[in-house]
Amino acid sequence: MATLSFSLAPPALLQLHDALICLAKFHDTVAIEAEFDLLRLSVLNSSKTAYSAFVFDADSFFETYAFGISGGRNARPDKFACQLYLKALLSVFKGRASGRDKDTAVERCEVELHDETDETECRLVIRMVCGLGVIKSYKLTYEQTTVNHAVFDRNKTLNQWSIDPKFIREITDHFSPSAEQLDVYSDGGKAIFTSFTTKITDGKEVLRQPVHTSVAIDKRDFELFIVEDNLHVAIALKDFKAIIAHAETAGAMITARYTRPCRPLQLSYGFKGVKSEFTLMTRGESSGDDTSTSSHAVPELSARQTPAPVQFTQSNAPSKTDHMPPPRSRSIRPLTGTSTRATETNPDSQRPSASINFDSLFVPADDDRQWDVPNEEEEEEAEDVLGWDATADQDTFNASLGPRLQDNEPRMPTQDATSRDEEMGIPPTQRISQLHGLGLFD
Amino acid sequence: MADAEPIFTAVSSNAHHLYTSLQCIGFAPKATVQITSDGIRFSAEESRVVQGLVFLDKALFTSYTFNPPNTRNEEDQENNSYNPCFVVSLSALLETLKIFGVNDSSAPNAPNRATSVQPSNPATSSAFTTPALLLDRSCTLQYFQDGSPLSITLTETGVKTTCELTTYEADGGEMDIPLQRDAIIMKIIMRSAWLHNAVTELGATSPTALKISASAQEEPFLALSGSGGPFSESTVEFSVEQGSSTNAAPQPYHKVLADDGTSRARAKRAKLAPTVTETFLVSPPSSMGSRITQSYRFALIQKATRAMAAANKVSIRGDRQGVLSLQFMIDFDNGATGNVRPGGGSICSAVTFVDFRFVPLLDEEDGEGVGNLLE
Amino acid sequence: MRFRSQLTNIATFTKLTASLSSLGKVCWMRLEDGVVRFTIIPDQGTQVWAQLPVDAIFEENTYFLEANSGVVNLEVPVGALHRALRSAAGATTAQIRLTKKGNIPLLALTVLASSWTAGSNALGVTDADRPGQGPPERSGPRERETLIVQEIPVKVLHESAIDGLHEPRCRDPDVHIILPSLIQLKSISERFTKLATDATATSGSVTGLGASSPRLELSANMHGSLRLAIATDSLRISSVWTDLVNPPLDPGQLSQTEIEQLPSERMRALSDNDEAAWAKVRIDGKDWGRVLSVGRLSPKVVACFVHETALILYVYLPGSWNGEDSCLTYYINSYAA
Repeated sequence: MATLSFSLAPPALLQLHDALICLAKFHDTVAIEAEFDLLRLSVLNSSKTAYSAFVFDADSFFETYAFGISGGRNARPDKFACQLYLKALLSVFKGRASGRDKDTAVERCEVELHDETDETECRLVIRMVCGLGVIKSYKLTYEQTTVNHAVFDRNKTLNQWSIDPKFIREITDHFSPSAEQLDVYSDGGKAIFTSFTTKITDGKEVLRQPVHTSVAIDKRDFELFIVEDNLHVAIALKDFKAIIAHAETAGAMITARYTRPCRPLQLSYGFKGVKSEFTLMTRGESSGDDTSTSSHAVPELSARQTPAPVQFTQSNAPSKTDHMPPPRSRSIRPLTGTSTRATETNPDSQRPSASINFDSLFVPADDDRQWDVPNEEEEEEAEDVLGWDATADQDTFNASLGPRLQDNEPRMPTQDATSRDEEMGIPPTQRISQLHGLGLFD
Repeated sequence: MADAEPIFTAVSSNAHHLYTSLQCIGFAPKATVQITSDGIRFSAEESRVVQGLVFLDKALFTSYTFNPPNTRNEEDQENNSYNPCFVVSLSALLETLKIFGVNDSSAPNAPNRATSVQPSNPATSSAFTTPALLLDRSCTLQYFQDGSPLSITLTETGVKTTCELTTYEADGGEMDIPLQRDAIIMKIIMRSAWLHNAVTELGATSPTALKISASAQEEPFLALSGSGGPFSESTVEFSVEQGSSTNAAPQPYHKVLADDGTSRARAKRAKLAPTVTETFLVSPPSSMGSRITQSYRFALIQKATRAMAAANKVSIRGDRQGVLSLQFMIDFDNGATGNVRPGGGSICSAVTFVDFRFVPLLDEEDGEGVGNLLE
Repeated sequence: MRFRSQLTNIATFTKLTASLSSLGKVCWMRLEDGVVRFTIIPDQGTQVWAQLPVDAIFEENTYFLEANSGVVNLEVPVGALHRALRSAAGATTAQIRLTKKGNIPLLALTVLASSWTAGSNALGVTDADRPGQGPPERSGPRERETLIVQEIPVKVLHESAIDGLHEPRCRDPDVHIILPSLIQLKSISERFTKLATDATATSGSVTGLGASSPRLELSANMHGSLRLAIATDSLRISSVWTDLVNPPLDPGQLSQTEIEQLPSERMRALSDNDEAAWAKVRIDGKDWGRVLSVGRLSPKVVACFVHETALILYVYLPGSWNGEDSCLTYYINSYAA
């Protein structure tokens, strides 16, 4: 059973709202993880090509923050995780109050978790204490869950740039609203951003093709620009715009880190006790040794999973390097289809690699398995193997399995024991899908 | 026909006041109109469970002439037995009134937005507050004789718009939802904005039922809660404003409070009423205990949202049967400030009252059954 | 076939494309020596034939056109062109040229924009996350340049493909009148359209045309009056403008006797109380709203009414380039009652 309570001052409330607005552009549910020193909100999009996380520091972001957890059914004794609908949270955490309500503006927000073992519904209780004695309170139903984090090793990134997001927003303003992808590269003293769409159109529809727009700015507009010349990487424009919009609101310098096409790119920035990280899968012409990824398929991000009631299927034989993943022209897949897909594809493809069978948001990242290191020793490490590593080279990857990756996920003690013993040990108290009135949020 | 004097002619220099008042009951497509010598009454209702009523006092008009055909004799004027009553398309009437001032470049999109649930405050958003714009403008309502259309003429520089609204016979079934004035058990007066804010807040979680809970003896003195939403319950409590942090503690330390915020602590003891209320009278019958709780369909309450947004004050009344009356006062003179107390000798010519009544949900033991009842 | 030019009066070009794009997705653009034409011929609704002197939107001394016939005909997605042109707002220079990428011909719009940086520590935040040692070099305000290239796919049309396109012809109008403020006319028209739409929606008496929008009745006389009206089951509404101008016709083009025989002169002779003095057309409310979007160019608009037949709008752009008038002609058919 976990206890969590924290309170927020109005400026932090506004920042939380901005973060929720940003997250809502990626998916409809958000995972909330509480640890002793931080609260993390993260969203993985349905095609698993974008992972977004906001980490709020317990000391500097909150007015008060208290977290406690006691054994029992929790897989990890130092962490609590649940998921909620973003729309539900957004109906509670709103933006700036309009002028008319000035006198009853929120003065303090108190949040408390009611994690009742014997109750059928778990509740997050939020109280907004406003002026003139007005108190608004909400009880939100949540679902306990396991959370996956995209793995990204910043130390391995070869290319990096930092810029005032305002400059980037000025660039994206020029793009057609229907453009889907954004290609970034540098050429001489210029950084060039091009919007494009991979949609195939026949001759008749030529005029319906979205306008290709390229915008070149001087490298001097960047705070930092260390990028291999003429290296193209492409990401989903919609994701990029969502991130830029938030970074601009937050007034934070944004940093991009990546190695090469078809490897993840991470955008990050920090401000006032908040750290944001967005890990996006890139596409583009991959380099020679990267045989398995086609430029048309968007590979999924790899996951690092927080301990969960899962069963691992151990079959880590060397991977076939000539395996081509089925190309997907569209990366949108319904969330509900993911778990079945995971169970179907694994036997069918008979791919001898690590795979996970579990009922969660996450599907093993099939496009990336070729780089996974066979590992039959510890599940704890097997989990790491699933993780994507920015270098993608086997030898450097091996090297990276050490402490660096452990930095991302400090400790996972007794994890496999717990999960083995209890199998599906954390039944969600109530599936969000079982709640009536769900149609409202479809 | 045209040479005969019409039964009714009213001229206003400010169609926007008419619009602001009438849009409060714009939840229904049609309205019943009754013309009297004191003013015009517009009422709209839905399924006999919600009713909205606007009375446009003749003081709102620059000229107001009512010539009932049968009451030319002086002795009959006392009776006012003849009051024309008919039904018109309310949506068409509102849309027509919006034409007045379309040329005001200040708010080209405002008319479209006004149809949404939350119109902006008329007093702050309107270009009508600039006196210069009112020159050369008029809005005339006319009703010639029984069965004539209700005609609205808008005159502005260079253009004159005439709208003839077909009048339909009132079906006679118009019945007011009865509020037992001699059995009022709750009367709360406060700024309408607080109610609007609370209902908007609750509405965000899409509840099906609104529960009003009031007590003059224990906290929360007044609470509105929404239930039946897909995954959230929400409550807005109106309590006594307190010093900074004591409110948060589960058990407030009154001594500590008295040390650092003496006056407020005393205030709390003195006044068992929410800070935001001007009047807070709760006297439940003995059968109810000390607390009044009554539930209403949230969607019905939401029909009064426009009135809540437009009004300065609201009087919330409930009778023994659970019928809820929300009476809104729209003060066009002081609309922007909202702090001016009415009746203080000021010339309150531009005041409109909008009255809403709601039939309660049948209550099964403290609202537990509310969700079921709604299915 | 070649075409390139620097742009001038970018705001006018942008507004022009915005107005055109409200009426049709595709626009036929005809580039000639000295004249540029834009034509919209939608499947249904109003046709636009616009003719502008080259220097209305292009810088004449950079206007370069090379084609066997002396004419370049393009089919342009006008909405995309409009969006692209918005990038050129506040541009230092903007150039448009016809080019090719693979097999797809393009209009490439190249915009050079410059702005000033706010100077040192523009963000005013300290970013603990920033890698590297120490704060990066911050300088005072400096000019920063942005180069924007917008590639709009187009189709190059052969002269034979456009041979069949002809500007509509009409008999002499019964009434010609200068329209009042377009924004007022547009607002009132839209409100009328909404009134009629609401009425059909609530009464449920949908006419056989289904989704078609309401017909507005627009009429005018030679005594300076314009009337807009609509009627439904639940209301009859009309707006009347008075004291408008019936512009005199150019005496240089017509002889006095010719002028006297024009239908508009016969209409002028009728009393303004006489219903016969009004020339009337019935037009589609939504289409009319889109036509009036040309108001953004703040033009002078002369409306020519051909009773029960058509309405022709001559839209004159403000200002005059090189003494030549830019004129957009809108052809609107009248619906039967």
